[in-house]
Amino acid sequence: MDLTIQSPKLLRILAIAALALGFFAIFAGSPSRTTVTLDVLELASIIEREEDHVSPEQLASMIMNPAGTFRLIDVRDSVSHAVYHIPGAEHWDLTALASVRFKPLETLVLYSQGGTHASQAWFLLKARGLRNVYTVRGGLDLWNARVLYPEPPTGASRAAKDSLHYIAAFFGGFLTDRPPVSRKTPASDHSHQNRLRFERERERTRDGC
Amino acid sequence: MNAPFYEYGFFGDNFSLVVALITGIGFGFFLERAGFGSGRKLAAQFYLTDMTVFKVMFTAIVTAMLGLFWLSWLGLVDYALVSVPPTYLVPQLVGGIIFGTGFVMGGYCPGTSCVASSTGKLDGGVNLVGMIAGILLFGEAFSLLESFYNSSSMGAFTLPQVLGLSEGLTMFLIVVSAVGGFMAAERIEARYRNGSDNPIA
Repeated sequence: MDLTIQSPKLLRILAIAALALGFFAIFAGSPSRTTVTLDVLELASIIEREEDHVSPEQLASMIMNPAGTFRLIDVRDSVSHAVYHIPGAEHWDLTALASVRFKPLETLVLYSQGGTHASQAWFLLKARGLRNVYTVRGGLDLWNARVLYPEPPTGASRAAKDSLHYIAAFFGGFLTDRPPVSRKTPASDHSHQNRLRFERERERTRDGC
Repeated sequence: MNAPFYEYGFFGDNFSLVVALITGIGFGFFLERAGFGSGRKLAAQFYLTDMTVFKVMFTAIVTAMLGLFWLSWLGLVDYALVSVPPTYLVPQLVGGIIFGTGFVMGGYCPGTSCVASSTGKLDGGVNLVGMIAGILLFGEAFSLLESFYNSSSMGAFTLPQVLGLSEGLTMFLIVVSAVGGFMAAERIEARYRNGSDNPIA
């Protein structure tokens, strides 16, 4: 099968077509989309149905039992991130989020200190066309109060308290009515190992950006 | 449905290998049909007696460039998600010199050496073995070369960004250069084919 084009006439037609496509490209504008059209009704509906966020407890469960893959993103400043971050979190500031490349169907969970910055980042990423973006309700403040140092509800059963304690210890915290006696109890060592293993696994599987 | 399909999650890592295999076979087929399974034809490019390599490669660049631009413009491809490899100026220049030297000496580049060996050409097979040996050597010596490999990083950028021109105008200039280049190539071929100093005639 000879694929060579022998006809000079056809070659001329192809050359003219390429020149025409190149010429009209001058007036077509940039194909890079920096301006977007937002479906505000859809966004409002997502927020109203509370499908824009996960609770701190849900996030804890997602980290402890990673059934699917997701990326946890800390949008606070780098110093705050260095001091403490939720295990596995990557740090991206808002400016970087405007241009960093994410896969369109990737699940992203954003958090900030209180939740405001994460909500702004959520809007920004939605505007970029990313579909599976969530914030952590209440940010790191609520994470601390509900997961890291939870106060057991009045009349909570021992099993419920044990469960809260297990989750808190997994992330290096404790139940407020069970402050740690020693930093090196077997339970805390076990939780620490789990957390380190999780961090290592996240680091290994993270996409490069 | 939008492309790039992999970036949009239409298929995962495993299926992307199948896509790579099919694309590779297609690439090899068209290289072979363009005559690139012959070391003589490839080497003739360097002696200016056969400009097929120049014409085929420049045609591929123009086709891909126009296709990517207009498909993005029509909303079928997300231009921002198309991978742009980063530039490491000095290591890539050195790599280019090594690549070019090997190409002119052996008569094949890595892709065409695979094409030539698949059609049973012994010189293609020798080049293929050389390529694999080079990959192994590079892999083993990587720790020694790593700092040089990562030096003079300039990040990922495109021609319109370097030239400070719009994408459309850059494309138009490239198409004009290509058409002008093809016309010049035809003349060069005619001139050197008839010359008495043709080393591989």
